[in-house]
Amino acid sequence: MECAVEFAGIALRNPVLTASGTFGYGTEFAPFLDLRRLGGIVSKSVSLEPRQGNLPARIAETPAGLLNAIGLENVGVEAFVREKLPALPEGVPVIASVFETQIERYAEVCKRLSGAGRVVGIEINASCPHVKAGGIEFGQSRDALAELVRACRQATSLPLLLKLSPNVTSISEMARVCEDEGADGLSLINTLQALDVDVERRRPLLRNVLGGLSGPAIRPVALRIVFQAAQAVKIPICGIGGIMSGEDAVKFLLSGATAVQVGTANYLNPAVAGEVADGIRAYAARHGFARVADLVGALELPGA
Amino acid sequence: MIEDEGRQGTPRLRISHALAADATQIAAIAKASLREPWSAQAYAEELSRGHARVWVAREDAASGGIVGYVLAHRIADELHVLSVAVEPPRRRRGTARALLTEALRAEAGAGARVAWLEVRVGSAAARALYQGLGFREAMVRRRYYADEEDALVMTLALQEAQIGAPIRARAQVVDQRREGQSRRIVLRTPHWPGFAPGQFLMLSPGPLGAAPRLDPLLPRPMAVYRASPVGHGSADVEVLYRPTGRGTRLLADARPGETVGIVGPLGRGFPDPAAGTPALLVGGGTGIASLYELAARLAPSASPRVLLGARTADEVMGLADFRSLPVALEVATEDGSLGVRGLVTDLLGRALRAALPATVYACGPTAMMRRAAELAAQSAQPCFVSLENPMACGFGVCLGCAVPQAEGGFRLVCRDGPVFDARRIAWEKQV
Repeated sequence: MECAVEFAGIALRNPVLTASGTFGYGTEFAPFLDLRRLGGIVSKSVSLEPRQGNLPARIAETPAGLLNAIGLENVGVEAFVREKLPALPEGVPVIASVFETQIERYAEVCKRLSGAGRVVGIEINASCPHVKAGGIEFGQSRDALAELVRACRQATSLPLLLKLSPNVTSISEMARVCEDEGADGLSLINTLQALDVDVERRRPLLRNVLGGLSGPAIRPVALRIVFQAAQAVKIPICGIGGIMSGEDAVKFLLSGATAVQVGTANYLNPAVAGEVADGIRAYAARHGFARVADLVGALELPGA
Repeated sequence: MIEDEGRQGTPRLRISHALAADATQIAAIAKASLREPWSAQAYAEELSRGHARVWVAREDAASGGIVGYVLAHRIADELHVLSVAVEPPRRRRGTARALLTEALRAEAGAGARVAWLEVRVGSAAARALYQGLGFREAMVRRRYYADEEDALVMTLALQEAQIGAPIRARAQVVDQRREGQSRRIVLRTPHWPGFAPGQFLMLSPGPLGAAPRLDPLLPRPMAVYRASPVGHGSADVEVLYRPTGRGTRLLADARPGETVGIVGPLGRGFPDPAAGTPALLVGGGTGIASLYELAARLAPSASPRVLLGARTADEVMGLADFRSLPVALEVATEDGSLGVRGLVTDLLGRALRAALPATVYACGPTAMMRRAAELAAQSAQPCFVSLENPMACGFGVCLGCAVPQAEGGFRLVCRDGPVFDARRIAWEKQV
């Protein structure tokens, strides 16, 4: 079974990546999982300077989901390049996620990562729903997004992925903006902006009031968005949203994603990303596909 | 009520540091096991040396004696294992392996980088044991022993071997019973790296893998109450909890034979008490479960005083276990149904006024721990608290369990805790 795929110019040994923010800087998983079983990892979003994150409560469990407002706590790009990247085992492709509050700062982080070796691609987090400045505004405004992609494209020659907000009216339009401005791929979806309430105390569950919803609860929404975006653009898509198993991942591939990212499930089972990769292979074999890549977009639509 | 005997009539074992009084029993085991044993006097002298590290496996039953020991020297960053022995009738149950695992885990945690030992070339069983723990053959010492047998020197790089690193396993429920408002679940895990008092597990009711449970989605952090080796590297791990939410009610439904996913042991445990000071343990409600192993391990040497509190008598967890330990035990209940009527922090205030110095260890509701921290600070005594902030992963990734620090910034309950120096916490911002 041929599991390798090419995604946005990046050669992956299988289509399974780990989603930014759910896999730390990778080394935290070493006791549980051989990272070389993965297609690669997308590291925790880094910014130009270290960020401390929000006051607790930062997370809350919701039906089949997780609501979070961590606040993009991170060590900053300098410590990431100096300490975190070298600690990862060889042979594990790293896509570095970037978050900032201004376009110039996004571009600056891209520049610093481009010279860091080890990094095979950059994912721009243009959609964090729980940080007040930046983030979501870029992901929700057509013009701001275009300007952001243009600036990052000029700042790096590495494969450039845009992680987009699902909290938009037309994902197809936002996807086309990215393609037109030179993005190499899309990561869909980031968390859904959400709220939950402690009814006894009449308070929001999170200190930040609003948070981002992840986990299996959002999977059908994520599949719809991947499906629509895949029809709108030619650049490849990485599907993200509540993947817990190989079958879940296959749903994204069939709907048009070339690769997938496993997120919240890493918390429940720190070896799950490896199991998802095995599960995709087993599905492809069971259904007579010679290559995992042949699953991409193989959804059979009624009347087609 | 609680049994002293584990399953199949086999007493549970607990590994702990040896005491001066243990020299006679250690010498008896050495005599029955080694070709060149030392005298009881020699072991007594050994136990008093600063660089000696001696652990014993004790039966947990009321009458429990010592069934095995490991003796080592810690010099700079090396641990030299000098002798390991188990009483002949207690062999082949993984006791030696458990003893060594605990010794290596504890010393790796305390900065040791290399462990080494000599073993008789002809001792196939001993060599296999050490190999199983990761030791590798380094060199031969010719005619090392009095009978001229060669010794094999074996070494283990402790940091690279990730001694004490958490495991992920499907554990089998071997027992679950109700004790008052609490449940005691015993989980058999196929491997177990030992644990420090205060460490915890992430527990996922239901099977892992192919069809994971979607709701409730997240695993639940639970203190390791106690763990005992049951042979071949496996262990029975006990957890005490109260079914209060969806996750714990699901766990309460788990029957013997079913599996529960575990990841652990996680976090850092309680530090030792300040030199020569007695330990004052303060447990409130479900927080009591975090303190039992600490009380048991400190009992022989640090004359701990244990203060337990709950709303009512049947919420006092593990009471019979604490009563069987040689500790001074006091109980407070809010309704007066057991012990003193009032709060456990009232007991703490009185204890601190009566006897100083003391190292305070507290686990319970946030308000209780905050009050314990205040009382300890007023008496200028050290206080360590074990926090229970909500978390999704347990190993430093979700960043959900951030604790605001007095000096600014955050530390994580799962990675930097759950035990914290109470003075460093910004209590007014803590959840």
